[in-house]
Amino acid sequence: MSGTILAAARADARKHISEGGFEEDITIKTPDGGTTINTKGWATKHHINFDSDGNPINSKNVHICIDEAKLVTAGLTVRNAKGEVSLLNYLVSYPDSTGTLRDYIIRETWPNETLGLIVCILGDYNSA
Amino acid sequence: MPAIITEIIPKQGFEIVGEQIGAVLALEVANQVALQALANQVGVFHERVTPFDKSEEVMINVQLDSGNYDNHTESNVQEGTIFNIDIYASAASSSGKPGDLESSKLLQKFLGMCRYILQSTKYRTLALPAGTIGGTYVDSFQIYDQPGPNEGKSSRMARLVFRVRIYENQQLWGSTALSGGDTSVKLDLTDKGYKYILT
Repeated sequence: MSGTILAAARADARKHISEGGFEEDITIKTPDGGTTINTKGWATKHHINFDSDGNPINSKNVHICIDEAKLVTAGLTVRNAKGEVSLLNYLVSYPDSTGTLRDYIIRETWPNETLGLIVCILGDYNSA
Repeated sequence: MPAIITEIIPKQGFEIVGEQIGAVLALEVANQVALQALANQVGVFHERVTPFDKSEEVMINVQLDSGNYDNHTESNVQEGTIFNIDIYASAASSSGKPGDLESSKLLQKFLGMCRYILQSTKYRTLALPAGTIGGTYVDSFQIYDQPGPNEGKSSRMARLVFRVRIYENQQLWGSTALSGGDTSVKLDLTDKGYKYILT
């Protein structure tokens, strides 16, 4: 059985991500469009990265951090048959700072299986 | 100045061949998985940038690397084109089978499979129409990423370098039809050399 402090840390992390005041409304759709769910989480988008020499470069970087338990509760299949997080090519949309809804596709997932959070690295997606 | 290349520029050979390499590998690797009753999940991709994911077991990615042109003529050129076939594999440890060894064996199995398929004489032209390519050569392979000590999935990666001699063509500039002889002077070979003869 997990320790009480660990359980509290998990609950805190999930709360901060989903209702800590920095959350954004996020829609996630399976690649076949069969399932669409709405959740809340951190959504970050900036335009600075660093090349292999450490120099700053202008490069779009979009990622979200979401609570895996909320996805499961909403009915989204998060893991594959081997129990690994498998969200590649799922479609994500959320509004940017101007309120414009933008579409993305999940290109990488960085799950934190201590706290139950998943960071998804997003790429631009043209839904038209 | 108006554009003088008025024809639609067709798909280049290296575009066609890259797609065809992926199609051949997808078809033949899936067939081998079935023939050998392998339980491995294999995905074949073309120009994938998304990194190998922890939810995957074997991933094969076909990427165009570079090309060198030679034997230039006005209407065509031969292109030694390099395609990188990147193969990724990961495996978990099981009883008596360390994950690093298993992933390495898995990687080598599919690396060898890709080499066999691409060098097979049955795919000498990659099943493309005659005149598209002049030869295919598996040049080399290299194992790159050794799994780090903290890498839980024991992921391994190898690159198979595949060279294809591709014929690229371009249309010649249309000539102007001559209406007939416009001169009354001939250059004729005589005992004293070439001589202009008035006709």
